[in-house]
Amino acid sequence: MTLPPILYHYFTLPLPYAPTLALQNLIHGIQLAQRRTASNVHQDYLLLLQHRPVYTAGRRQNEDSVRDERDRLTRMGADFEATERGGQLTYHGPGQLVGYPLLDLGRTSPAMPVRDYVCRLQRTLQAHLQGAHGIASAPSDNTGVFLDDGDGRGAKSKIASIGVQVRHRLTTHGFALNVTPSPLPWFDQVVACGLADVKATAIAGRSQSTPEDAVSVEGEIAGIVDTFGRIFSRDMERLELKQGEVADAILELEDIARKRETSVITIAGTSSHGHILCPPGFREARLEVKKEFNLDQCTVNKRCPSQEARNQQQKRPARVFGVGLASRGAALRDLRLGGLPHAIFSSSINSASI
Amino acid sequence: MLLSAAFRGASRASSRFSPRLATSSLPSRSIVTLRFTKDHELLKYDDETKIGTISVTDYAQKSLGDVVFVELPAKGTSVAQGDQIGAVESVKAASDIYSPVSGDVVEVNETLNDQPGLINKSPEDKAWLCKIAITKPNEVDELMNAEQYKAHCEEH
Repeated sequence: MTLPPILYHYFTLPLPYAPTLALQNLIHGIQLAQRRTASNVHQDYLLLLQHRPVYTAGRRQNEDSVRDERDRLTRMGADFEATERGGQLTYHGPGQLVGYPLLDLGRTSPAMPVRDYVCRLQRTLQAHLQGAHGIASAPSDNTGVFLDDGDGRGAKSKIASIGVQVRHRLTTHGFALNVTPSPLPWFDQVVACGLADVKATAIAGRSQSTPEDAVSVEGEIAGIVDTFGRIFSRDMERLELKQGEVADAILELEDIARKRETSVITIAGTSSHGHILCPPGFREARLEVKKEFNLDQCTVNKRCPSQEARNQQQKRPARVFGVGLASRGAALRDLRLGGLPHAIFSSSINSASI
Repeated sequence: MLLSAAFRGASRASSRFSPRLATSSLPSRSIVTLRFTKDHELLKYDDETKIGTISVTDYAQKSLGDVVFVELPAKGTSVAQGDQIGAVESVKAASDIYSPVSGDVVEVNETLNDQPGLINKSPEDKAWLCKIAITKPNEVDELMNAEQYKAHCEEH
């Protein structure tokens, strides 16, 4: 019996977390319903995407245990969501490739054990890192992909995380792979995955094949899809968004993401200078930002051509203004940026992201 | 002689006050039916007390890997057959567990809070998840027996 291909789709815009989770659960429900009526009508999917900045907790963490973290992190400007997946606290955001394989583990005879599924996810990430970037992973008792820090003390950094949920042998959630340096400072704010001594790392800066400035999430897609198909022994086919409930739901999510497009202002930790990224053609940022900040001093100065050039390469909206701030510890949320829906602002995070 | 009389006395006394205890101390007299689901839950049904003890099967624990966390239902919850009643977490995968029958949760195995790994060591015995007072006994007959379950595992 040949298995149907896994249909993959890459979302080009960063997605808000909650509607994406709703999409996963919708597809899960469709697979479950279709499987009950006939076998092999339901499809398997691999969704590849980036999220807007969000911290997520796993199933083990009840509301009491995360309340303080939730407050602290949302004050910094990130979203916080509790989920039903395995694993503990983690971060998702621009610069990190997130993959959600929505598979029926019961397609094969015998069914793929959950343990084997998680193992294959891990192997897919490890093989991709090795094949595309010459990055060798370090063995670990913990689930995820780790790299040796090479400091002779056996210290490790974590480059990818895994957390899944299985209901009636149908999988949701999946993996997250740090590609650019953008996610790293957000990881520094928390003890991710319950591992206190482990720092986060990314492909950028570690790749043997691609210079740090040229690494992008989009650049990883082809390799990940290819390796995934190889490790899972399945054909991979791009999902055509023509008709059907799943295609409609995906298009709807992309629409939501487009409407919620935001600018993120991030401020360097060591200085109080930051960058605002705005859609091209947006001229009024300097005046609007000055009005909105409730700080003693705020100077919006000249554009930053180097940052703009970097963003052009990564095809991000690229008008960048420098922002000087008087107080470093300040954190604001929901800054109105001259017509744009909202912006996230934090003084302690050093990364430029959409 | 004295010993067996004492034993008989004890068992008679316990059968007066706690039929369930009698069942577990005298396995040859218990009427405990074993039934299985496609999703690898095991139901041990005592048709005298109408209590069903739910656990995951050995097949399930092998498939999951090392269990690090068990989510149990609250005592007093009413469940319908097929409702999600908890989850087992292993190697970053949370696998949902479903109730094989309808009824009310009368007891949960609190040991699993501190010893989730018991599910790997004794999945069908010491690591029982919860006990349900069954409201629709005919549902028990719809489930697979041991032979059917074994065949199901081999095929699937």
